[in-house]
Amino acid sequence: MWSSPLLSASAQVPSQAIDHAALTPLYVLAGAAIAVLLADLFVARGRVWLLLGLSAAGSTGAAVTALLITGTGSRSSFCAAAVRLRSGVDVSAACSYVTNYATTAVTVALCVVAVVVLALSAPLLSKESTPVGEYCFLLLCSLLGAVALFSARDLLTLIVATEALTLPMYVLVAFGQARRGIASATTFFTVSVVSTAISLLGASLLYAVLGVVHFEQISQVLRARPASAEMGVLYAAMALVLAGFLFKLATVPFHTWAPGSYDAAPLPVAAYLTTVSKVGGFFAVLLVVVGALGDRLAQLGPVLAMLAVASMTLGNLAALRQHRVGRLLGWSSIAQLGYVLVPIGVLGVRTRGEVSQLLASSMIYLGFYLVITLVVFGALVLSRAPRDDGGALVDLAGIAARSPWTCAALLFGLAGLAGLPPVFAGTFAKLAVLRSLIDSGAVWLAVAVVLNSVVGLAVYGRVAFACFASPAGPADQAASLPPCAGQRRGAPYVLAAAAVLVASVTTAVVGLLPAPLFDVCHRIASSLAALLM
Amino acid sequence: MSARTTFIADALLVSTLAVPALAALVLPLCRLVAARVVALLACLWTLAASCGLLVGHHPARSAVDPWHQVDWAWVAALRLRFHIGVDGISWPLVLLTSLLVTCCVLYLTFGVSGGSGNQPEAMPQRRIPLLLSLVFALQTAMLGVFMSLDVVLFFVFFELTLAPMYAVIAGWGGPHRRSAAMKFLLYTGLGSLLLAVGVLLLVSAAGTANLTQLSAPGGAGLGHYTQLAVFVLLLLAFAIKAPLWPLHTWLPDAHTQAPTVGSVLLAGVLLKLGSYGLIRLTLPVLPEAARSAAWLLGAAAVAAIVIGALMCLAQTELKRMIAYSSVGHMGFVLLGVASAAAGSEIGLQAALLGNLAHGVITSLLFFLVGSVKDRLGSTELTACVGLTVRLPLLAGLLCFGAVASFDLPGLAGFWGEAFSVLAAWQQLDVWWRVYAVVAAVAAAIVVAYFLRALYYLSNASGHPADVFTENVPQAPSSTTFSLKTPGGLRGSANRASAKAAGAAAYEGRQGDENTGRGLLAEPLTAGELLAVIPLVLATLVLGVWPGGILSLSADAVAAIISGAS
Repeated sequence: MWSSPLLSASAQVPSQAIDHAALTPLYVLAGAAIAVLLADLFVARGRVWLLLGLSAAGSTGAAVTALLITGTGSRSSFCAAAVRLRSGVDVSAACSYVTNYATTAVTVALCVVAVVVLALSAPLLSKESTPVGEYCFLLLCSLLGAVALFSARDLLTLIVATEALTLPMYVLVAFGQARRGIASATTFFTVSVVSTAISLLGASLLYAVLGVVHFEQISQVLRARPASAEMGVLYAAMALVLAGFLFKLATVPFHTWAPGSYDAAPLPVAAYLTTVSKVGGFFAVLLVVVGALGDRLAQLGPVLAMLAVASMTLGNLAALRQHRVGRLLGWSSIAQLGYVLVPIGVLGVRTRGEVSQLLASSMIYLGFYLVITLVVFGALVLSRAPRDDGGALVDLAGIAARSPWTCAALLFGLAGLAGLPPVFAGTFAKLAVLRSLIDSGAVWLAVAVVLNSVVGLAVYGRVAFACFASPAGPADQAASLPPCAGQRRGAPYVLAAAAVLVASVTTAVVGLLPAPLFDVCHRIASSLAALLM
Repeated sequence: MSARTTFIADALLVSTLAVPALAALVLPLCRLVAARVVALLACLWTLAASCGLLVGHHPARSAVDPWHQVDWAWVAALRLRFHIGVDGISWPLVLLTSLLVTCCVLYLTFGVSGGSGNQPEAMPQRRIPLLLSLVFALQTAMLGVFMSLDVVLFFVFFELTLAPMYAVIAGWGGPHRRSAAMKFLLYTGLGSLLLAVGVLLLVSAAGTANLTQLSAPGGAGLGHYTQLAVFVLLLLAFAIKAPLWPLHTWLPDAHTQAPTVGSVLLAGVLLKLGSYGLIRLTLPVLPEAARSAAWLLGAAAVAAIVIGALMCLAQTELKRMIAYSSVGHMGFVLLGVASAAAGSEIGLQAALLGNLAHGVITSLLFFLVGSVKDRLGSTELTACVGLTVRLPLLAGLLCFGAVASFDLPGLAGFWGEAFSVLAAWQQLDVWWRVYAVVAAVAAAIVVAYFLRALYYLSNASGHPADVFTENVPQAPSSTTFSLKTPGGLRGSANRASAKAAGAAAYEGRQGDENTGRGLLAEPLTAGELLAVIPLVLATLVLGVWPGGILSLSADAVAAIISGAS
């Protein structure tokens, strides 16, 4: 896809064959996005349901085509031929876009999550003032970016996909209450654009030093030239690329945009940010670290481990001090991503089995985290007025008496985030990470995770307690709160409630019978580990 | 055994876990009457099944030689198998758990007295199904810990106790429930997560999570430093749960704030998870580390005994007093475990007996104190003055519990504590003898604090006025301890204010008695009696016939000790 000026004269740039089958999920999503925009223009009655249905059909279609067409075999597209670089290193042929078992699995997961988020958005969209078409269009575009991201196998495609994922989010964050939403969206936008610029700078430095952008070729060049004069530039480039993607993932010290955006965004958008967007950021980091810079893991690993520990520590401690639900969950997601990232930090010199286990434990945690987070945000959606953000912690007071089922779902999700049984999903997530760390001999990291989990208990325990407090303030203030459950039970809320039910049942089932999830994650991990070796 | 009887035994084993778990799931959906029926059926079934597990017991040939076991795959990637079973060491505790839960259910089902109105939040009837559900969730978790034969499963069940107990304290607790619940959650949460690290380290080093293999003679065969690291992690986890001084500070708050059933299950069973974990996991699996740390464990246990006793003397409130006495009693259990780690069979048997006795007696006391609180609205000692006259049955039972708690020979508590002192003495080492002597002296202080409580209960002729004006200030026990320390002075100030409150309450009740049935005269409800009587009987049986329990566990104890040395 990208021709290189550093190629030696003898190499010729081949014409690239495009494997359209590999791209079908993207076509489906793009088609659905355009259809949504058009339908928004021409349909007047029952627009909300039509558009929601179209978007859900688009996501489902992408998942189905991913399963049926790209399937579990591997396909690749936009390939560059093997060449001899000017530096004298031979690099093999490499492709920019690859689909295989791993990408299919991730695509299906992302699309399912997006459908749940769409269902949770129903109350928000049924409000008169919400621009439904734009909302669904942006969500689908962002999903397209997320799906493309994990298939990307060169730095530029990865950056483009990441941008496709995040660009629509700036607008979506601003859909909430006017002023705070726009302020946070602007912060988010600025930080994000700067981080993209940093990534690009890093990518161009890497290209300048190595002469390639494909991950496979980068790792080949790094392996062939263990030391060179441009070492300083190389490390600076790696740091810049990683920093850019860590911004998207919101790990310490690149996290400052996250709590504000989570707080100001409407709840379904915040749910999307914590799930799909985080998964995207995580896989971007993973692809760069494992796919491209795998040869330098021994140096990068400790840095990542430190960042992960810092993330969980700062995230948990800051969450402890929050009085707004959105901010609290934002900080908590920073902490949770710390747990996800920890195993990546010890990938350094390892056998293939160990690498695979570490990667798998990361993904297992992420998988459990996805379903649990959807439960938590879903319960919050049910407890709030349509366009609301998460609100203050004290707004939760009395929810146990008002709507016991919503409260039960919220407590269920919180216990999962805290890792407490009987929500075994959370427990097994923690156990998987701890086990892989301990088996790799990184006991100190395991202890760090454990100590942070204890702080986490306090964080989520505090929210749980807030649910049972009796509503504060005089009666008239209570009357001005968003109308209680029962009074505004329209079809949109029924849809959202169904989504919460599905997410809760999935969490419970996946917790009790986690073997399939473990298997899928192990398969994804071993295909990633193959990139490294 | 034939295939058929094996199948029945397996089904029985699984049902002891499955029935409470199902009950916990179903109960929140039930209305009050249905909930009572479901709860009664579930707890009686579990009790019957627990008794039924005794059928087919056989002498243990090794440290873990279960009478019945079930071994199913669960999460292969975590080396987690659903492997449960019972043997002579776990069965008594399984029975204790089922018995106590049955008592709690009877207590909640057949009438909690309505509360005196002095309680800030009387228990609303419609929340009882939820409380019952949490009780069953706790039962599942606790039985699961006792029956686990897979160390990872052990951890999972150990952790499962956290959320329901937090909910019980946070949802039904006293006025300071928030901080008490949080303290419980953080302390014991830290403990169980340290356990997770320890267990995973153990499994990673030994290559198996099967407790039967891990407790083969000589232990799991870990290297010296790994063994030490695992031991330290497990010891911390269990010491927090047991609780062992100096990690006990969560306990008094949790006890004072928890509702009656919460206190009963906390003292009766949850604390046993710590001592059981030490007996089941550390002694047979990590014998070398256990032996080298026995002196430390012994010292901490003796410190717990002494400090528990002294703290008791400083308390003026019954629930807190029993909570601190728990610290002391668990100290004796852990002294037994420490001697066992040093190679004493008697020590291990003392620990097992002490576990059971403490479970029964302390639960009895908490039930009774709960009844006192429901009637008087306070459990300050001064508020209980003259209880023997006003509520003779309750006061009599309370005296029985107190006497049992200070180890009167012939009642349950005596054997465990006497033999753990004996086991320490038999170590033939100066330090262990010092431990034995100090523990024995502290046991005498225990007598002092319960006698002091009895003094308050039986003081006066039923006219609190006598006590309020003259008797109490001159009472030797209270003056001795209230004038010497600043803490004591604070205590006496508290007492003065409580006295005023008590007098006011008494006058109010006099008015009640004139108009109709006074609160003070309210007799024990059927539920309270049904809950208490089995515990009284168990105290007597354990006291008169400890051999019955000892004979069940004797072979396993011998195997553990011989395997360790």
